[in-house]
Amino acid sequence: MTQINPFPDYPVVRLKDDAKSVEGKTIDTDAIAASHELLRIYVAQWKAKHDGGPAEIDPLVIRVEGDYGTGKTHLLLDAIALVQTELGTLYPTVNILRVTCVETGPVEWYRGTIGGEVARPFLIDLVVRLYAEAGKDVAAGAELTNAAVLQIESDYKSVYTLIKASFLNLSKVNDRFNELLIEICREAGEDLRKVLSGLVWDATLKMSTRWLAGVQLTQPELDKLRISASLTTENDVIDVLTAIAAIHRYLNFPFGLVVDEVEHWTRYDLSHASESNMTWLKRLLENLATYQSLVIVCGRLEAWRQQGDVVDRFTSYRSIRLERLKPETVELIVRTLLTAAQVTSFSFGPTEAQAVTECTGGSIRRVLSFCGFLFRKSAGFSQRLNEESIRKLAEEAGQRISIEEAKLVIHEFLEKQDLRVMSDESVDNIRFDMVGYNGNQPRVIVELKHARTQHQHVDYLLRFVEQMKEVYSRTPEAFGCFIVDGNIEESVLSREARDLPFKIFWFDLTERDVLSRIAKELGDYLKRPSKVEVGAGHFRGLLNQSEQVELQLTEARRSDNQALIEELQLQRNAIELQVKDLRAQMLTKNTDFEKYLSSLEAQRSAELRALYEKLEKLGDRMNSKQAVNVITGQGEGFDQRLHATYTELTRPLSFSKKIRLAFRGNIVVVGLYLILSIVVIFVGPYFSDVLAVSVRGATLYRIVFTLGGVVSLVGLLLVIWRKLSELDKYTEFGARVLREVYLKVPNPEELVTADNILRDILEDAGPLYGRDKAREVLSRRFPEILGHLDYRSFDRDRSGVPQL
Amino acid sequence: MPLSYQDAFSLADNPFYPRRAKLLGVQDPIVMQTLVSRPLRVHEEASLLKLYSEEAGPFKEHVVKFLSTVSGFGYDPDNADLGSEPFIFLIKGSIGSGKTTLANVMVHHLKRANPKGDLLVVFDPWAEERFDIHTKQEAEIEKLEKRILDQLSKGKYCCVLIDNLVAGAEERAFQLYARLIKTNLTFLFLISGDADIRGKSYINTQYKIYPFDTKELTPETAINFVRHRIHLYRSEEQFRLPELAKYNVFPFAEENIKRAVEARKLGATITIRTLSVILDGCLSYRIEQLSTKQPGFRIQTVAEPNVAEHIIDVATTYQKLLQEGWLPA
Repeated sequence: MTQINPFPDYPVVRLKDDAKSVEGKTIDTDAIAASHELLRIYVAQWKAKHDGGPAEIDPLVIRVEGDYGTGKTHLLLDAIALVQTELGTLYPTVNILRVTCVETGPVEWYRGTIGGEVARPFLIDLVVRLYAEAGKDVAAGAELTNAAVLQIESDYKSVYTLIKASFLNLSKVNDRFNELLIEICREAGEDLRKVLSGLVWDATLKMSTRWLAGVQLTQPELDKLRISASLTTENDVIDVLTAIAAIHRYLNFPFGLVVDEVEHWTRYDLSHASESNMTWLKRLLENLATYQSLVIVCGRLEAWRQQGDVVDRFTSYRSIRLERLKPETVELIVRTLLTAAQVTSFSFGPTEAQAVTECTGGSIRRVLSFCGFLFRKSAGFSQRLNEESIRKLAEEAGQRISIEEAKLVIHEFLEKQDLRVMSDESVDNIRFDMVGYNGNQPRVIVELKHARTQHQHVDYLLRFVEQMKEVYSRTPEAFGCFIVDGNIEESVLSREARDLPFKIFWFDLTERDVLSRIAKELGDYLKRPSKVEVGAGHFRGLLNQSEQVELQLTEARRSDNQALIEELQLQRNAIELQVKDLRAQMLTKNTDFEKYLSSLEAQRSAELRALYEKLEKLGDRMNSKQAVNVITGQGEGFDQRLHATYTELTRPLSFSKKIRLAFRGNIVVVGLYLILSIVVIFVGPYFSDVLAVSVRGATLYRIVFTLGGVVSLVGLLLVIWRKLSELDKYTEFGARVLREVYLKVPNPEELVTADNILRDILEDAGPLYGRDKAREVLSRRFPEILGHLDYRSFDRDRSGVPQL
Repeated sequence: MPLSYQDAFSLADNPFYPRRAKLLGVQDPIVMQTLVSRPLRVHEEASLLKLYSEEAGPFKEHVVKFLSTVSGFGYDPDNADLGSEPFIFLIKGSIGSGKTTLANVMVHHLKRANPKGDLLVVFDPWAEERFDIHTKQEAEIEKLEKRILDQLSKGKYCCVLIDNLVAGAEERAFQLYARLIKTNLTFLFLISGDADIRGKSYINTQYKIYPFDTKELTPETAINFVRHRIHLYRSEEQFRLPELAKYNVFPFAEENIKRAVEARKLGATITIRTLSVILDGCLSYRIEQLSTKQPGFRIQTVAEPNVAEHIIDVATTYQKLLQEGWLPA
């Protein structure tokens, strides 16, 4: 079989994926056809407007509903791609914001998701374009400057050059810009208008973007923007999004907002016995609709059903429903994909389609994944598959599950647990295969690994434990799920919680019924609040309380309210005491965890050492490095040090090695100096009698010799202590670097490279000057992960407990 | 070698970006730096008054009003007499509309009331500095207050210019005034182009504030400005060519300037600074053109019927400046 399998094993797309990536992979299902029909009407209006047609454009607000795995996100990406393809060449910019709902209120949702989107360059660019419009108006205000209108039209950023050159009146441009903001963003308050104005100039750009991202600004930042408060209310969020749509409309640029997984909002409403999220959404949609926007809101069927009366409010908008696939659609999909992959001879008809539909429940994700399996099993569908054989293969697929299939099933399972599931997601800059979020908080971290050897399995596992430790330090309620397609020694893979402060589930995909066990164990665990979670929630609550009290205290100090200041200080002290207690408790848990990790690492190190010894002996015997490579199963050029683990690389140095590294070439001089000092202390008094001519002189000589010897000895010890301290700092810095690389770069070669850099610089420059040099070299070598690294602020106590 | 202004336009120097200090009798060349876009520091160098065009806006009325206000309290610049009343003056207007120059002219007249310079001390700490946040300016005002109190003996007259006042820092400026008037007779000049300050009236503050507004140019004030500068640098009293003599502001034409500056919408938009920069650009562009195409050109030798060809259309030249990338850095 030479054809490329056109069916993806893991057919899950993310809303943030490149929309164009779905082009050519979209089958014209009923839902897709309905979506295209609506979008084409909308797009046609913009095209007509571009060609001088009517200025007014009817907005398009679509509600999309469908079950798990019915291709909702795919439909959204397809819609985005269609609009961008059709209008991208006609308009300078076509902005479509994409955002996923999380189980929280609008403000928190905004801060955690769309705020970051809003604060992106697109909005800065948009506002600068509006500022350029103000510049054009001022330029057109007199014949003298009228030529600047054309200049700005051909290059909107030239408004800056014109102003800086005094070719335009800066005050007038600013005044006109403010007038435009008032006129265009009618709903926006003065604060928002000032924030938008702040995007125009470098001096205020940073704080404006921070405000728009929902970050709490400091008082100096608020002062600089001349605003009273940070973005704090639901109305602020609506105003921001409406203002963006309004500016697009004024500039005649298409604008869209795509909201996925609205079920998280309805669930939040249900759990709070309110309709606030959906009412807020309705208000937002009404506002956006007045500015010609395209809005698509997508959610599961039950989400819309649960809030029936709220859904009624959406009836004025268009609706698209994604259904489970019917056999004829399955047949169409299979035929289309096979034809697109230039598979000319295949056997797949209505009977096979019926069987596939029944086996997969009509879920498009499962259909694609299962068809991929069938493709492999039937030599690209060239072998005849009947209903029975398809059912048998379905059973087989259920028992022998691949990593990708498992990923898909777990993805669906976690979604059903009401988690927001992200694939290839980073938490604290550490990349994981899958993360299930509860609101904005990571709840379950999933890593799926395939390893060729037992040692590789253990490597992955230990690394995952370290990564989880890092995640736990910031998100104590998260737990791990480590899945491998092979057996790992029971002693290492204990499924007991042991002393871990967090839970890690281990699963072996080769075991029978592993998926049902995963579903059961994860499902059970997700349902019950863990002990750690309670502590973590309390801890976070205290931190929030502390922040609030600090803010109130600042206000009270400003108003010089002594009584209130005293009361707030008392409150703050009480909170600090509670935080201290809680931190101590968490530290205790962490100490147990460290012990557990140490035992794992010790075991691992012993195994490795044994393996190295065995390899060295074998290598010596066979007298060839190639022979070692053959034994270890690695190819030519594979460095034996690649097997060295993080533990090995960060093993504490022996005292003799420390001394050697601290003094490098000067060790002999140090030794001689030490001997000389001792000699002067002990032999000096004898020479005193020889050198002195009087008893008084002899006493004086004795004192001088003894004191001189002691001082030089103490001085030498101080030098040794200082050098060793510097070396300790360097090794701590090195350990931190290696840990960052170990956790965030999956390639062990990089770990060894970092270690080599650290060692080479230590040898060349010594510990005192080496840190700066190492930091510079490593930051260049690993810019993404070490760009921020600062050994000066390195916290020696890596207890893993969040710091207040 | 570029043509001289003398040969190209029969002008002794560039009237909108003068470089030749001696022509004006200026002793300190520092005050001549980038005059095209900076205020006239007439309170430091009185010779710069030659460049000051009192009819390029409401400057004359403002100065008259200022002098009548202070003279009502005993200040008499003409008779070197100082009075006994402190003042706060607020000068506001668009950036480049002549606020700082107006304040400097007012201070110049005050200094005339103390020709020996032994009683009146001027503090002008940040004429060229801009603050992006009021708290920074407040901190600077605090430092200034300390400096003035350290330097100034009791009873002396004190003239403080707070230029580029940022909205929010006004209260601190008033505090400075309150502190200073306890020991010294103080003139506080607040100068601001800040939109928030421009939009305020300051009628409900605890101190009496004398406000002065500077304006964008009207066709009349624009031509007054251009005429004043051109006449200052015109090297010949009478043009030998009668045709040239018809053009009062050669190489520009009055009607052309008036039309170019006239407001179309949004009210007047051209400030003195904008006009100076553009006219300077027009002259420089013209000189380059002539130097390249007619190296030995002398306006005095142009035949009568051809003089009109050498009039600069400012709006068209502005367009050329933009098209050919002549925007000053």
